[in-house]
Amino acid sequence: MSQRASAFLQERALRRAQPLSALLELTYACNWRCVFCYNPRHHDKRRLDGDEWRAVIDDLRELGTLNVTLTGGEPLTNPQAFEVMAAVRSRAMTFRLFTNGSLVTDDVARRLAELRPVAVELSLHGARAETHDRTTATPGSFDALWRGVAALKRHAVPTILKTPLTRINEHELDEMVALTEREGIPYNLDAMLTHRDDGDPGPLQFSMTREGFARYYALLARRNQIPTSHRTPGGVNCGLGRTTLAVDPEGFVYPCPQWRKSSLGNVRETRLLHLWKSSAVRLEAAEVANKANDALLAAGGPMARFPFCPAVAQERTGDPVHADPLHLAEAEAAERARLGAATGT
Amino acid sequence: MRIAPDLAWQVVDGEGVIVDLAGRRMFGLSPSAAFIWARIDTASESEIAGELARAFDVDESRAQADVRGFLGLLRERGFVVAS
Repeated sequence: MSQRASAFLQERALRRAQPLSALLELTYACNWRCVFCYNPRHHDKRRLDGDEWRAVIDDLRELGTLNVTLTGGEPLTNPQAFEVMAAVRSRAMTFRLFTNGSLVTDDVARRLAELRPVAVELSLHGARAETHDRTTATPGSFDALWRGVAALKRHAVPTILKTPLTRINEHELDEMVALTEREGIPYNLDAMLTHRDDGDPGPLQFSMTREGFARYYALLARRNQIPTSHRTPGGVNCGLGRTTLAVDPEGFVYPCPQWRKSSLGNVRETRLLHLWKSSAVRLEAAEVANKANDALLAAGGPMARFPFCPAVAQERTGDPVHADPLHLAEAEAAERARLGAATGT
Repeated sequence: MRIAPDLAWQVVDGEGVIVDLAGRRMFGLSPSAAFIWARIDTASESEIAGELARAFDVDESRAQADVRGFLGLLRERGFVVAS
């Protein structure tokens, strides 16, 4: 989808509080142990079953969702993963699958190809096996990832590699870019680590160093890809509480994938359709998106035009409206890189 | 007649968006086209024309011609298939 078309759709959906995108977490279970993982645990207490997911998917369709992302944990450890994917497609929505690739055999890749995902996204945690496996705390995971990628390629499944940048892998940034270019696979980078969903800040100890951020933004500046937010007075910071929602493995609904401060409720007790339409939590979250927009504009400086995640700020400082020191440091690093690229310094 | 299985779609604020997952392209639909599209799986051509005439306040013969023309275009592109 072109950026212009996406922006147009997003603007329309914002006006109507239509959750155009939904993130469904199929399980907390995972066969890897990534050191910065945001999941609070690696087992499900009482996972939603196939019928419950189908009810969620029916309600998403009715609420106006077009794009569904399926993730976990490792979603392919859930025996009902394909049932859920098929249900999404049967309701004429797109889906994107986040997987670590280790369970992507030829048979899995073939079944995925038949369902026509928009993309299967896999994380590359280093250019070398040693770095990747250290990040996942799983020996052999680098080779397993590439076996999965090869299977997806054989079945022509649209594949994207992405890297959550950390202080463990930041020194291999250029090598990872070169590796993915050599393999001809689209590649995305993510600089932001988050607290665990239960509020534990443990993952943040792996955040990139100041030098790592500088190298990352210099790379984005060379490619003219520094992220920018176009804020206008009275606008909204993001789709929080309006255009996006998340459902966790046990049925709790959140007003965006990052916002875990409070849930709208559980789909086992109240239909998703009703939770979305009547939840005060959703309305409060949507209001945060307005307030953050206005506060960032009023504060000025680089944060006025840099992406801001209220949920992450909430976790870091308890204030979802104003930029926290880490957001500010990132915005300043991005600004320096932008200016450096413009002046050739 | 039904919507082809390789498509995803949704109506957003009255307008339609179709994602062609095989061709990896996206198409927009005007409000009247979106109105017709959203009924393809559940109503006959003449039923859709009747509903279109009432919803958009046009005469029935004009609505029938519009629906026929639009469905013909969709068939040509492979966006609708025989059910």
